[in-house]
Amino acid sequence: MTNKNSIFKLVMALAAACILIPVILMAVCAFTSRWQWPDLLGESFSLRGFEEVFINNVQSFRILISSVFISMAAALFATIIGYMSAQAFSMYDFPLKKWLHFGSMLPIIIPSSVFAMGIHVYFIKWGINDSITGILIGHVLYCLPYTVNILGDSREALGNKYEQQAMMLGCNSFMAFFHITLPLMIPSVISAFSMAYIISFSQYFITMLLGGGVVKTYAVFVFPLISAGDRTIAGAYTLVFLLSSLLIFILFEGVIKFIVKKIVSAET
Amino acid sequence: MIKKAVPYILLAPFIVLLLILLLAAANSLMQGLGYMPALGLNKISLDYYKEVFLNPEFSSSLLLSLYISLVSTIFSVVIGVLICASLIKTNKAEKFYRSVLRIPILTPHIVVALFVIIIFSQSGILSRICYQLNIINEINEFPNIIYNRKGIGIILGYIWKEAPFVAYFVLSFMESISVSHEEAAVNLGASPMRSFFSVTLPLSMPAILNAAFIIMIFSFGAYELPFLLGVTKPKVLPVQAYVEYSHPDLRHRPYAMAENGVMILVSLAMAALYFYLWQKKVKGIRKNYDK
Repeated sequence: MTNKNSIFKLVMALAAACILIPVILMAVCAFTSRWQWPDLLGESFSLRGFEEVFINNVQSFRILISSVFISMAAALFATIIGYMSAQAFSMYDFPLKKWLHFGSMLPIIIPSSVFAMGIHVYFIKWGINDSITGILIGHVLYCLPYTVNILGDSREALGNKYEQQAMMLGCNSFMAFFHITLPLMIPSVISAFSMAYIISFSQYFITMLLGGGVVKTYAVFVFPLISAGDRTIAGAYTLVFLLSSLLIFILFEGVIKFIVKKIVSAET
Repeated sequence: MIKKAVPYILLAPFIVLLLILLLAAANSLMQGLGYMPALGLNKISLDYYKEVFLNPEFSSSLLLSLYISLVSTIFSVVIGVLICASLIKTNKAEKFYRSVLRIPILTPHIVVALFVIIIFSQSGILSRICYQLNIINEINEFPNIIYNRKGIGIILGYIWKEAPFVAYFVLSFMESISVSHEEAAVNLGASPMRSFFSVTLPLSMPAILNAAFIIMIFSFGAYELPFLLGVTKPKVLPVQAYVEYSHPDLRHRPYAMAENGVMILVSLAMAALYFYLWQKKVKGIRKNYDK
């Protein structure tokens, strides 16, 4: 039995190593000045990469900030629309339900490049090409399968017995929603929002084509640097990429928990 | 009456977005059939599809896309399920492993491409290690893992990103089965190995199939990794289609759209296969329970 368990432990250790080694290597890359073949370690450590990101290239930092806001907006819309759809799917029975539910899988089935090329002409016609509105539409659409799924599963599991109890005790449906259902749904709202944020933040093709170079996100900005050859620069940019989303998650979770605490303490 | 409308009101923004997606798909299909009134092309025909299929470059693109999607899905699913099962068996340090597994899910594909370049390119870490161990003497002796026709770099990138996704996706499902059914099987005298393969694994199939379906369709239609890590010939289908799309001569559009149409059809076929397998599997499980 112990022998068996050690095999599983080995698998996990191996998997963790395979996941972590590239991340660590990238971080090391970002901090080296030059790293010539065949040296196993860089010549010396330097902040050249980060100087490039934050000081030399003012544009990059501005793009990062606006990109964070675009993805936050996309995630917010995707979470709200996802919640509304999840509510409809899990609490109501109606004709076309099965088809519409299948429809929520369509963005997974139709590749984002096909969507972007197909809708481009219409966005130009409607005057929303090269605009944040157009990009948001694309991003939200491609986040929806995940938010609908995550929120639908937990909404169904929650049921509406608590809400009904509150309403029997005299709450109206708004109060029941804000004081009972929403706080209970917070964990899945957080994971739906985070998932949507990450999908939007790493979206390349939709933003590239529908943004037309006018609206740039960080992913579009970093894309050409990946294969450009300077690994210090590429490493620094991607490290900032990853750290920024980590920071957003921590902040978001903190804010949500703070709000919930306030609601709960206001009631007692 | 109002009550009946509630779900539709809730679904209104979702339906609007869905219609935009369907419009994009319909537009791709129509333009692929040669219907572009703006260019004076009003005749609907299968000529563009025919031409596209007769083009040897297209068939190698399609085959490459299918091959990358299939191989990376098989590896990701097997490794992912292995990780998932191991995670359930190792209780210690589980929290650490769980957060490590989330890293690839949070990492954008663009960044994954950089990982692959740093490690597997000719000037990458592996090549340096080989030099230090005297396996190779020159940078050119290291095999071209990334930019080769078999798409090994692309597949490695997908496996790094998707195997943890499979593990994470299947985890809660498998965990609940492992606790209830597998232990019962062990109590009845099955070896842990046997109970895993004949109880837990088949019962987890719906979740595994679901994860496999998502990553297979995604890796078939994704643009980023193959663009960054692929060779110029043959290109995968989405990259090839975008080359046609961005051609300055607008009369190339229908070819791009015909290729996109093929992508839609293949993805729909994959979805149909998934629903067929899923229904069969679920029915099969129900049947076994009824016995």
